[in-house]
Amino acid sequence: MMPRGAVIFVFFLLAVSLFFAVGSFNYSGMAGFVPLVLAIPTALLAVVVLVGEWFPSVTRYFEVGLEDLLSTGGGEGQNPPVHAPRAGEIKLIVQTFGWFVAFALILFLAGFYVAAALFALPFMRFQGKIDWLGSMAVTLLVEAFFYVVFEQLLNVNLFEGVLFGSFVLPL
Amino acid sequence: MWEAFIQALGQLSQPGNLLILTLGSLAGVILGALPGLFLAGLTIGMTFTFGWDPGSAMFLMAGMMGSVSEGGSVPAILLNIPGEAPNAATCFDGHPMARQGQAGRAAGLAAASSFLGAMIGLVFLMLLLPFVKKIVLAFGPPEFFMLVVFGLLTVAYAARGNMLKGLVSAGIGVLISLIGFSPVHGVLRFNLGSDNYLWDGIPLVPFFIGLFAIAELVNHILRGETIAAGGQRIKVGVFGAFAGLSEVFQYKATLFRSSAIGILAGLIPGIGGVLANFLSYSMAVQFSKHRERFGSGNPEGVIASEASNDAKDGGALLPTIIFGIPGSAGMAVLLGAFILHGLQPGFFFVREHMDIVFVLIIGLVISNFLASLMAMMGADILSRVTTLRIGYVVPVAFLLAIGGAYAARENVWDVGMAVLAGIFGFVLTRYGYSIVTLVIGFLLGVRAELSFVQSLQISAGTYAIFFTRPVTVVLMVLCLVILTLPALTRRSYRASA
Repeated sequence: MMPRGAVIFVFFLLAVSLFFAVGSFNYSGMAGFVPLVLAIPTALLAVVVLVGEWFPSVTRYFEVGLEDLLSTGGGEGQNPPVHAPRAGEIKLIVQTFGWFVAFALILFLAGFYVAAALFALPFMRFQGKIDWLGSMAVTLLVEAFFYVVFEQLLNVNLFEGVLFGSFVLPL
Repeated sequence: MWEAFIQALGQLSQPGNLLILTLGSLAGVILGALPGLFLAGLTIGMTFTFGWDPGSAMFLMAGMMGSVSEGGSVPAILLNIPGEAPNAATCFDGHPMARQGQAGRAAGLAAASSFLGAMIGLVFLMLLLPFVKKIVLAFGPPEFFMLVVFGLLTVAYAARGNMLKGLVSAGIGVLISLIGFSPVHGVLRFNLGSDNYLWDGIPLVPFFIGLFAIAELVNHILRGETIAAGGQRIKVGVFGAFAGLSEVFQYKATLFRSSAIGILAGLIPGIGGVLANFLSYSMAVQFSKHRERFGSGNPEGVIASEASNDAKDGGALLPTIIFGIPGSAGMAVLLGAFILHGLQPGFFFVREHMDIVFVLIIGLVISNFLASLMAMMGADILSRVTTLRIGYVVPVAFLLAIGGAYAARENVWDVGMAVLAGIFGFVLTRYGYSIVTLVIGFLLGVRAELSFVQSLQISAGTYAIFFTRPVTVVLMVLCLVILTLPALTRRSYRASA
């Protein structure tokens, strides 16, 4: 069965390529020409990949890499085999990224130390199923590490949050 | 050249640099033993170097990169789980040796062959260094442009799975690199309405942190409760390990052949440690008079695997240093570290910063030595590290990653960029696209554009310049060969299946 997420993602990549292709007309001369000649083949390749998602026989010529021939294991961060999400997997993925996004929002509002505590403690306890004592101990250690290494040794001013008056650079 | 070597030695003698190198080696050995976490650790390590002098930063990078495969060999031998993908073939004979009560001997063999393989690779690199300037000068803008195209094609082909997806990733990577102010044309492009944050383009550090660290952490959550599941742990005797050290010299031919394969694999972009590892193992089987012994605890199998995956670093440094074309994810992060410290690979790098090249070489030599000792002495502890619970690892690693992403520029928007890049990287790998080709495209995009524009300026606007110069023609033919290779690979794959 065709993986629906894979098709949606190809459409996303196609949209990115087309954004650059269309946007390139805003720039004159080579400043627009170079993005255009890069975006058009990328978009065409994305279309071929899209066709391959529906009709795998069309792109089977390209489906075996050198690594597949020689190895049986995974590559260095390279293409893992595609598989449809298992039951409960999507929920776990959304949950995990939910934690990460929530952390980023709290950091923006209340600063690094508050966000780190509000992220690490409940994450370890509820997502990682670690006992309260272990979760608290590791959270405290991490906070101490950031204070000593980042603030004292590396002289990094960790963000204190817009609620506590931290300055935010304009986007 | 010798002045640069002495300068590099001088940097090593500075207080703190030897400590940085030792800590980097320790971190590399531990990260190497933790499947899938090395790139995340290396990227986070890179962010710690912001504000350091380039020499100290390169000692940390060399320390981590030089020690990873030693760390990775330990779980391969003791648990039958390769720490890193380039250690995979070590499992074939290393683990059977451990099950026969020879874990120490296997660990000693792995440590010695890793160290010697790395030394052979680095000696090769040093022998080539006097000719580097001539090689670089032979590459003008048209040649460099074609080299980038060739590099991206080989990386896309060498990856597992669909080459088309690899090429789409590369294209997206190059396009993303065009965001921001273009020094080539003097205009701000594709800035999505952001006149400030995207002025310098997509920031490298949070982008790398997201793609390599955050995306991988989510993959770990999906995989299970501990970092490496399964495997029966076997104890290592330290004395047995020392006995294994000297045994390597009984298999000199395997050691040199595997190192040569590793070096060649390193020189060609994309042909990383995994391919070198399996190729040298299969060559060891082909050349052996006792093929039937492979797979059941043959020392030659361990030597072939470990010598090749360490020797490749010497080969892989060359295209990274002289052309700025990284052949693997690790080298891409190293290139990121160069850029972070204002070092631009190429002719000026070779002319002005030869001391940094020697810092990397010296760092890799010492790191390999330290890592071999650490892997032998601490094998039992390292095999226990793999059973760390994900519940602890993910939040701590995530916070370190975010801290690193923020610390580079102290800009809070970089945290958002890292999380967004993490989501993007996770979905990319999920659907079989290569992060490595995307990152290499991203790193090379602006330089490729510059070379393309300069080539057309040289030729007064005619594209014939790409078809009339000998090196560009050779590279173009090689590109065409690579495009036809998937069909041949597919035929061989089906035949072997």
